[in-house]
Amino acid sequence: MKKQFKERAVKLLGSEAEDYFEILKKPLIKSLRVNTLKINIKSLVKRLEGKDWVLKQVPFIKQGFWVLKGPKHIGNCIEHFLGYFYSQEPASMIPPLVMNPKPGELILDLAASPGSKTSQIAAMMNDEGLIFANDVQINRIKILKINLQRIGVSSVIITRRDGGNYRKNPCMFDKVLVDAPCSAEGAVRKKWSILNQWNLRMINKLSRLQRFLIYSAFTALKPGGVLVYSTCTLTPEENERVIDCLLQRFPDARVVPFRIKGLKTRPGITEWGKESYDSSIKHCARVYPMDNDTEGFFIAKVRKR
Amino acid sequence: MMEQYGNVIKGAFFINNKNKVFLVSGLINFNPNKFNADGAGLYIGRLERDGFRLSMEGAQLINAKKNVLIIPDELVYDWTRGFKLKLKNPYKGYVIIKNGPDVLGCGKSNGELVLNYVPKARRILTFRKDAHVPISKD
Repeated sequence: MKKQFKERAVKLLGSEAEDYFEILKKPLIKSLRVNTLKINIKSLVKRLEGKDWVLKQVPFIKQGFWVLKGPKHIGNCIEHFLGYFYSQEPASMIPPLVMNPKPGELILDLAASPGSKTSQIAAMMNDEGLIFANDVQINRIKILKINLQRIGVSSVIITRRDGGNYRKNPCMFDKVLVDAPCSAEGAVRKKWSILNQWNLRMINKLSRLQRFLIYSAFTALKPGGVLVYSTCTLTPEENERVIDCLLQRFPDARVVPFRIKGLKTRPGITEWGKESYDSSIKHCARVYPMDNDTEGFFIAKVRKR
Repeated sequence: MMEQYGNVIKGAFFINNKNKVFLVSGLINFNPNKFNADGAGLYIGRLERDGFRLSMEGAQLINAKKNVLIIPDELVYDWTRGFKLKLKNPYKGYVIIKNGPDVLGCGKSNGELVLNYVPKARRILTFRKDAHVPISKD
């Protein structure tokens, strides 16, 4: 673990930093989300338990389950082949819950691949409405297409555009999700090597990209619409700073508080080093790995006035 | 579809230049070309010279009444791995493959052999010791 990474975690978490370092060493429990477009929750649970799987309900989402006992690769079973579930980390199920999409809405998922959140949004909309699922890399688009096909999503247009290009479609979408590319600090439990690549230069570079994406996404949002910004990292430069820059640039942007039953979150920070952020940023949510036994995540809900 | 499978999939469709058919119900007010789309809707099958070959999702959606081949449990694993099935059956042409409540996709039967159209990216590839030994390889 890099010294600078440790110092920053201590600065963020104080006395709880040790708990944080401890949980990072613990691998993630496998988890899945039931694809309600193809099967209902009860039937799948009964079916998997009949095959000696042991499932535990994720407390904040009824479609989410931890797999306490099951095959080594849960993606290599017939139920996955048939599209009955999606192997997805519980923390990554939070942004669509915060967005709360409704059937008939027009949604943009700006950085959609591999498609876990897009497929969750489609399931929440009962595949009624339309989702623009965008990504910039052709290889990622291929994975996105395979996953959306397997899940059975028909209400989707897949685009391969630079995220910044969506500013050319102003005031078009009811809701927008920006699950931005990030330093993935929160995903260390899944891939320890993330820490080897971790450095401040990369974080600042990503922060610029995230601002570029969120500006474009906010421009594409209808007045009264909701933008959800999320990352799987806990660095304030990639989270609170990005939201603060959005609030400064767009006076019609407002951070909205939210609460998800069964999920422990902590408020967004309003001061980091020499920087201080808008007071409303405390309404954003930080999800620390030790609070819910998940990945680390950051989520912000912004409304356009 | 009605003639071949005894049922239809309802909705709006889009056919591309490779005769692939997509279910695009939510897209009625949108022209995918306007947005330089890389893909749209759900791929449900392909119009072939000898009939309509359904994709796995198309087969699951159609709730077919005709040309449904029920396969035994011991052949399911072969099917999901992409192997042809050696199975005597009364069908000739495209058939929907089913096992219990699960619709496993669409194949093409000549009465003795069923060709497998499960896409490579979707096949189950892990080695399982208790797996049924494949009869013939694709």
